[in-house]
Amino acid sequence: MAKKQEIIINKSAIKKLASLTRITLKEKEAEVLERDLEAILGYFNELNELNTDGIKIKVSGVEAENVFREDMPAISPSESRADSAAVRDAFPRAEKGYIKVPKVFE
Amino acid sequence: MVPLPKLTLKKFHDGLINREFKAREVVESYFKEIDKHDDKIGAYLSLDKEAALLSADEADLRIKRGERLDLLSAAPLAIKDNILVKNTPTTAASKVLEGYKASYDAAVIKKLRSEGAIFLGKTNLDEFACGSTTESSAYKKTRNPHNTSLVPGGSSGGSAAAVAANLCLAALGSDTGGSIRQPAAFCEVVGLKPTYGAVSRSGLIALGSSLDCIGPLTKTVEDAGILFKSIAGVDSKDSTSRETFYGDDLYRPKLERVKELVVGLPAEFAGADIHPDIQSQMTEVVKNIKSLGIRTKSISLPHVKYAISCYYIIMPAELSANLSRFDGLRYAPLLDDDVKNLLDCYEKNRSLGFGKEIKRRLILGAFVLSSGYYDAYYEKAQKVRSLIADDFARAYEEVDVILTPTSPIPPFPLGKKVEDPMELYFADIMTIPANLVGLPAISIPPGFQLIGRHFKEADILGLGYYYERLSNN
Repeated sequence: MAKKQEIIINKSAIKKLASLTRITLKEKEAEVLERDLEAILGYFNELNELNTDGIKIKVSGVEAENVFREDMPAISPSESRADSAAVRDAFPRAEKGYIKVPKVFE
Repeated sequence: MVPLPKLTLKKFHDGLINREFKAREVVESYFKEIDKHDDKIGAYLSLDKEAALLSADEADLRIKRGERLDLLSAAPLAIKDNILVKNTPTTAASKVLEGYKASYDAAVIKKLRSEGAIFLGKTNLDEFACGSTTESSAYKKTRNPHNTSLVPGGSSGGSAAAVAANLCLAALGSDTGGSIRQPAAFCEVVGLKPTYGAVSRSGLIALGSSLDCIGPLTKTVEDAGILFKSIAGVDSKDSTSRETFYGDDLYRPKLERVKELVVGLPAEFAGADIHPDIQSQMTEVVKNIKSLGIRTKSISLPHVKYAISCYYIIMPAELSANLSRFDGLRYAPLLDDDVKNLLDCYEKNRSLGFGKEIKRRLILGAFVLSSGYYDAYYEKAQKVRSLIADDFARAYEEVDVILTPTSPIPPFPLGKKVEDPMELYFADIMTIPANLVGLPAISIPPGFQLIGRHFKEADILGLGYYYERLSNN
């Protein structure tokens, strides 16, 4: 059973969560999100009314089954080349078949 | 001019093979209607006239040669813009996918293409299907064709509006917490969310992977059955998809069989939170169902009141994982390439690319999954999900189909609810349980929902079919 944790939602917690999801927030955005998150998490407290000790988790609503297959190519080499080309064509910027990105080394 | 409002998939097919009209005429009529009305309605994000007309000509040639046509041959469809159609723009209504063209067909598109269906264009949605008004689209607002001051619902608002305004013959949408059924109710069309696993999710841009389903939005229940049958089936690219054995009873049900169904009326969905207009509508619906000779029975689903909390923990957790692939490099032009390092590149582009609702859900998802809170939120929600599933399993020992309103409130004006996320989340209370439990559910005008047992789409479609005939007489 989960240990009860004191939930602290403040601006620095919001900033930490933002950095975990790889976004940055403007001051105003962070303020609004702090308010929203407090209200939403407050609402979630209703779940504590329920005793869920020993309840088994179902991953989705339908019985899940493992699906196995041999790791074999499903398409011909030429189809495979065409597929790779289609993926590369979707890159916004590319050079010699590689994705081109801005300089990222300091 | 072909009378578009009168066409259904079946009537279109019959008209085509009886040579009452040509496929090209019908497709051109749809594009004319779109040119005339879509400025006002805003159902489409992009059109594919050239390919559509080419496919129509192919179908006409096949008819001329006397070849046999599939039921969906040349049927002009609209596709929600989070489903991949090869070589056409696919944006999920987000800036992070601006200008992206799909490099392959979704499994459902492959199936429809093999039957000769025609894709008119891609329809608007809430960004990454997160919303219930279509107002969070980064590109445009969609309006309710029955009253353009009102929202069409969402997130498949563009598909629902296109069907309602005769800007397509039928459409596909996706449903994670009600995104097919709620806009269907708001736009007064039919919307079916299939059983989880009945339809492949390959090529659907993921929101909540344990909840997402692709399904039809159509003018009639019969059409929903026809379109569902053609997209259902196992697919090696989606390991949650199942081999299913659906028959013609999906769209040609037998009345004797439908009369044997018992319809459950859950006490929990009749509370004071339901708008009086919807309540009186439901009284009428129950009366009509009884007039078909179908028995009803009061039931209880004691844990469904926790469905909102449960859903708004699980869905953002899955969303935040799924959207991590949008690194700002591979799919859309960089919104800002003045970057210090790789992390800065991700952060700048994701911050510019994602809208307000997506950011809210990313933060929420990161929170419920973060160390220290995981057990209290994510694991707790998964256990409550099991309790909700058990409620339904018990109910289905006594009844075959469960009846509820689709939405507790009627369509509301644009801009009215965008600022209060909780108020908007509450509006999903009727539709969320079917997603959490993976059950098939359909919304039928004037806005009621039938929820069936797993893989028993035939029950809810069958009852819907006879209900519709009743209200048309």
